[in-house]
Amino acid sequence: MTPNPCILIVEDDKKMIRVYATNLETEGYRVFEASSGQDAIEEVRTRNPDVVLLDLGLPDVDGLSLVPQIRSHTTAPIIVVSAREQEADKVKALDAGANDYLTKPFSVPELLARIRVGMRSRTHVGDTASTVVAFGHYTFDLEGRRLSRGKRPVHLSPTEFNLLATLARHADEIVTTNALLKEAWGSAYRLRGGYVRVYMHSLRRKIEDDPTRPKYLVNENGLGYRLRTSG
Amino acid sequence: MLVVTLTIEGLVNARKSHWLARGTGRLLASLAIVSAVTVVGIVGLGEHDDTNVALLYLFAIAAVSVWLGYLPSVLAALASALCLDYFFLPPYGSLALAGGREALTFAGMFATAVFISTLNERLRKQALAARASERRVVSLYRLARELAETASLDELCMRATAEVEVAGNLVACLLIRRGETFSHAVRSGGVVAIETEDLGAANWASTHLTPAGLGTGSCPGATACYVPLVASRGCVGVLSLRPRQRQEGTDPRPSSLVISMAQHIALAVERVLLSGEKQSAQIEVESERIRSAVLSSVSHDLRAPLAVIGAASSTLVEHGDRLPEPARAEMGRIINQEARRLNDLLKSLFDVTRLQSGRFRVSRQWESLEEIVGGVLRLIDERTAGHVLRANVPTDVPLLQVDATLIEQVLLNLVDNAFKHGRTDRAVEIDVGLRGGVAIISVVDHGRGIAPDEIGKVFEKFYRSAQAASGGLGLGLTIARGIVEAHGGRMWAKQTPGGGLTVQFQLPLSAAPPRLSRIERAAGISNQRSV
Repeated sequence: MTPNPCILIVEDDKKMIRVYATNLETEGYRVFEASSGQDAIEEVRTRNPDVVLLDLGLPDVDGLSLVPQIRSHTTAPIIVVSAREQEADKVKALDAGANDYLTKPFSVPELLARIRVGMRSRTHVGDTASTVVAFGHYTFDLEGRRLSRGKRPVHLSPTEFNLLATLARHADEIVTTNALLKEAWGSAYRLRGGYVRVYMHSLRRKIEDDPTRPKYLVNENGLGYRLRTSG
Repeated sequence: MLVVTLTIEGLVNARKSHWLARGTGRLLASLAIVSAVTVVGIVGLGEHDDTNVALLYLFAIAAVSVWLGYLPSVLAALASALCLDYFFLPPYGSLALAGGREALTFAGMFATAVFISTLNERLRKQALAARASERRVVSLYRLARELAETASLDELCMRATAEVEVAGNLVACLLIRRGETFSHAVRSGGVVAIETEDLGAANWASTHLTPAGLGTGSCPGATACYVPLVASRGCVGVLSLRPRQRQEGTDPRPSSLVISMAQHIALAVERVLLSGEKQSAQIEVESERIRSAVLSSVSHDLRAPLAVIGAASSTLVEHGDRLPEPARAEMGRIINQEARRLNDLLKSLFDVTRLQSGRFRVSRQWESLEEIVGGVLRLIDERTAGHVLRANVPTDVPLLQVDATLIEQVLLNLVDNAFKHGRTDRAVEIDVGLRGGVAIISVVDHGRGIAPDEIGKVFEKFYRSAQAASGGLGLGLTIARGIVEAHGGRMWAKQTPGGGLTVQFQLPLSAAPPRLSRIERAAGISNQRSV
C-alpha cells in the first residue's frame, strides 16, 4: 500500500494553515507546513511532497523567487496562492514554473479540485501512452493529430491543432498565454497574445456549443487558458 | 563762413535734438509773422495809423501764443513792440519815443501782448494736464479691467505687463516672488526664464520695498529699473522696466503712471495668490468632510456582515453540540456568505481608492470581448442563483486593446447592479454591438428602473438608489465608469424601453487588430518548423 499523498503548505498565517490542514487531513492527505521561505526549501528537500501549496505573500522572502528554487528540487506541482493585489505576480509565477493558482479567499472545494488536478498531472508525467485526451464528446489524438466528436472528425488548421495539443498536454491545468505562444508558435512570438485570442476564437467556434459559455476551452482572465476535461 | 558753420551746426544739432529743432523753428516762425504784420502795416495802413497797427500786432501775438507757445509769443510781443516803435510811432525810423502818448501805446501793447501770451500758456498747460490725466485714467482703468477679468496668475501677469509696456513705452517684465525667491518671470508674451543679470537689483527692490536699478540711487548700473509690487502682505513680486532704447538724456525713472500701475498689479497678484490658497484650503476641508462621511458609511456597511459572522460563529462555538445538524449547516452557510460579502465590499473599496489615487494600472493587450463576456458568464453562473444572464456577442467583433481583468470587473459590476435592481423572472442581457470606430456594450435589466432625475446620479460615489434593496456600498457603477474612462471610453445610463435600467459603455476599436488571415502565413511557417 502506497503512503497517503503528501502536501506541503507554505504559508505564514498559522490559522490559515490550521484550516487547510483540517480539510486536507480529512481528505486523507498528509500535511507538512513551512512558514518561511527557508523552511519551505528545507521541507521540499526532506519531505519530497507530492503537491506544494505556496502563498506568494511570505514575510521573509518574495514568494515569486521561491518558485524556481522549489522547482529546482522537485517536479511536484506547485499551486501558488495569492491575494488579489498580486494579479501580475500570478502570471510571473506560472511562467516561472508554477502549475496552477488560487486567489484568496477561495473555497475548500476549489482547493481540493486544484490539488486533485495537480496530483493527476503528476502521474501523467513521462506517461507516453496517454497521447489521447478525452473531453466531453470529443477524443483528441495527439499522435495521430486527429480530433473527433463522437465518430465525426473535426478539421483543425495546423495552428489550431498546436494550440489544442499544448492545452491537452496540460489538461485541466492553466497554461499562460506566454507558454501557449512559446509552445504553439515558437518563442519568437512571445508577447503577441492577440494571436492566441484570434485562434482561440476560431477553435472555440469549432468545438464549443455556445462559444460565450465555453465548456472546454476556458479562459482564465488575464492569465491564460485551461482545457477542462471534467466537470 | 562763420554763419554757414553755425547753420550746419544748427542742423546737426536739430537732428540730434528734436526738441531744440522744434523750439528754434517756432521762434523763427513767430519772428516771420511779426515781420509780415509790419509789412502789411507799412503797405496797407500807412505810417500814422498806429492804433490799428497795434491791434493787428496784438492779433498776431494772440495767434502765435495759441499755435506756437509761450516763448515764441513773448518774443513776438517784444519784436512787435520794437517794430511798432520803429516804424509807426514818431519819431519814425527811430527807437526813441516822441512823448507820453507814444510811450503809453508802446507799453500798453507790450503789456497786453505778454498778458495774452501768459493766459494762453496757462490754458494750454491746463489742457495738456487734462489730457495727461485722461490718458492716465484710461490706462489705469484698462489695467484694472484686465486685472479683474483674469483669474490665473500667469495670464494676469501677461496682461499687466502688456498694459505697462503700452503706457510707459518700455519693455516690462514681472518677477513673481514666492517666499524668499522669485518663482518665475512673465513677459507680455508669456512665462520666461528669470534673468540672473540684474537679480541683485530685483532682490534689493523686493527686500527694501523701494525701486532699485537704472535711474535710482541703488544699483544704478542695472539695465532696468525694478519697482517692487507691494501689497497688504508684503512684496509679491518686482516689476522690471527696461527702456526700449538706451538714450542719453531721457529719464529712465518710472513715471508716476507706471508706479500707480505697479500698485494696482501688486494688489491683483496678491488677490490671485490668496484665492489660490483659499481654494486649496476649501478643497482640503471638503475632502476631509467627504472622507469622514465615507468612513462612517463604510464602517457601518462593513460592520453589518461582521456582526452576522460573529453571531453565527459564536452560536456554533457555544451551542454547536446542542444544535440539530441542519441548523449547524445553516450557521456555517451564513458565515460563508457574509465572509464573501465582506470580501466583496473590501474589494470595491480597494478598487475605488486605487481609481481615485490614480494608481490604477491599465495593462492593455489584444483581448477578445467574447472571452471577457464568457468569463463574466462563468463567474456569474458559479455564484449567482435565481437570476438569468444572457449574452449576445457578434462573431465579427474584432479584438480590442484593453485590460481584460478590468473590463471583466466592469461587466461584473454592471451585472451585479442589474441583478440587484432587476426582476428574477426576467433575464439580464449583455449586448455587444459595433458602431463607427467603437464597440458599444450594454447591460440591460427589466426591473423597476429608476426615476429620470436619478439617472445622472447613479455613477456618483456612494450613491444608492432609494429603492435599492440590498446593501452594497454604492461604488459598483463608479468603479465601472472609472475603469471605462481609463480606457478612453465613456459610460452612461438610460431607461430600458418597457421598464428597467440600461447601462451602456463604449470602448474605442484599435486600428489593425490581429486577424486570422493576416497571421496565417506566419503560423504556417512556425508550424512547419515545429512539425
